[in-house]
Amino acid sequence: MAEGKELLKVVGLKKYFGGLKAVDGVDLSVLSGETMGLIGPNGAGKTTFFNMVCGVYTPTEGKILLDGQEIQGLPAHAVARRGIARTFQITKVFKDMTVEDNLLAAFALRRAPSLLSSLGRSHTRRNLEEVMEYLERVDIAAFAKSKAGDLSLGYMRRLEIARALALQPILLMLDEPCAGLSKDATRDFMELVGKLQAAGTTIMLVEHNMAVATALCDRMTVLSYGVKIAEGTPQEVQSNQAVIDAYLGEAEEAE
Amino acid sequence: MYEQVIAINVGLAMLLAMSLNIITGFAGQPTLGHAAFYGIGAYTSALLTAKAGWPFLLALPAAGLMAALVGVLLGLFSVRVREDFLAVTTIGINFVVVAVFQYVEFFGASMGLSVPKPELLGVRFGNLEILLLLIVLNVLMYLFMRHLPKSWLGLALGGVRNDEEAAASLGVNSDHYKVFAFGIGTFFAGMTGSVYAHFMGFISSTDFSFPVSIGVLSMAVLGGLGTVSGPLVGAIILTLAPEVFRFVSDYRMLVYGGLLVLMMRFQPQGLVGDDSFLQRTWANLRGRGREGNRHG
Repeated sequence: MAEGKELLKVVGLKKYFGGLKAVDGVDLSVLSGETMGLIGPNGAGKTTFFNMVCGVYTPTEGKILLDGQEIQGLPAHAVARRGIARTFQITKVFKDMTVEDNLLAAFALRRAPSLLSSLGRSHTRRNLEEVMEYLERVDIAAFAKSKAGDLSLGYMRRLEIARALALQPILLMLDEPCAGLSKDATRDFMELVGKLQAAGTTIMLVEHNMAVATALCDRMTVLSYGVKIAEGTPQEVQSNQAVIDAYLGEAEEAE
Repeated sequence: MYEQVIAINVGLAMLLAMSLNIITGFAGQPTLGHAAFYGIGAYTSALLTAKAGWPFLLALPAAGLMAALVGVLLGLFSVRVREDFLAVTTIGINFVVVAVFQYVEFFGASMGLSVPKPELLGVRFGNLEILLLLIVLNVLMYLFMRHLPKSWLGLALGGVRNDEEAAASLGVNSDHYKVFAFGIGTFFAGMTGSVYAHFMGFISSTDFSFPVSIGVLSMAVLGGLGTVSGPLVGAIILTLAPEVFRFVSDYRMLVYGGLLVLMMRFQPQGLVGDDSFLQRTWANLRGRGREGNRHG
């Protein structure tokens, strides 16, 4: 994929909940191969924005183009089929299923696209071997046969990422992937994202923690009260006065 | 032949419990009205053979399809209904279906319907033939149930059961899979109803009333919802119990209700589910046995 191509383009995106303007006319683009951070203080509209791109919410107004095609308003499963994979802020692994089955469930998108083909056998040797490759990429292969609900939070996050990668997405969206993680788990996670970046994965990352975002992102977009207040490299954004003001109220609770 | 009749009842119960397990165990959609589809199958088969002169072998799948048709409609409806409301909805469906059988003249109303004994290649079906048919159907269905957790369908249903939002993020259209599960589960329930009708030779609306649904649910819960063999274990235990213990027969609903409460509280995974007390005991016994071998 050519570097710098506009993979995701969002134009004038709005989401109103009654009188609340959660997202109010945001433009944004994610270039292929880059890691774009969507940051901002609590209640800035990051998650609402994220959920509109993923098809969880229908935008009140505006356009979302993936590779030039409009996808706004499509249901979440259709967005996934267009090539956007996501993780959740509160991890949503399939708790009563094994780690292996969690991952295999993501293969269905490619291997059994229709209802009737879903009657086919999923646990073939070839598929199980491929599952192990994905689990090894996130270092949880040892837990393949464990119940996903028994994993620690950090490992559940990794499983979610592996599951998202198994969709072979053209855009990976991570929703506050470090929320609730210990310092060690956060460091491990950042290493993992580093590996994905090296492999050329295009990533959009919602992150509340400025330090994590700065370390991982090529570019950042800062939201505050539903509007974009800054955009640029982490260095540019950090020295931006509007950003400093927006975060100032939160500075004390940040660490 | 008393034993044959008992075996037939066990065979019918196993099919019903397995079919409910697809919807409630695998897809995670509570249904408290499974007897409605059992009844739809029974009445369809009875009418097709008695009034339209269809051969039993055609009426059997047709009964399944008719039940599945209504099941799919319920599934389409359930897509808009949250789980706890769905449970209430299915109770309602059960009562509506029974009421239709009870009051509509076409369905024999309160007089019920008599059903001709099936004939195949000149052989009139007695209890033995019914039993053989049930064994075949049970084997086929068991093979399907064993395949299910290792299929894309089983994985998709697992996703829907655990978290619809996460399933959607993997491209799974939860609505489609829920409806599909309803269709498959009610299809098998309808076929079972057909066998029941031709075994009994006479059906009436009360055969498919709400307590029957609770009985089937109790079997699946006792054995283990979402497990492959649990519903079979539950069906065998709860069908034989009234024959063996007089008091179970006298207080059937008390036993079913009590079991539901106790299982949900202490063993929600059922007798054969993961880490159930049976499984632990079995693992302990085996572990001890191995230890003994090593030292001996």
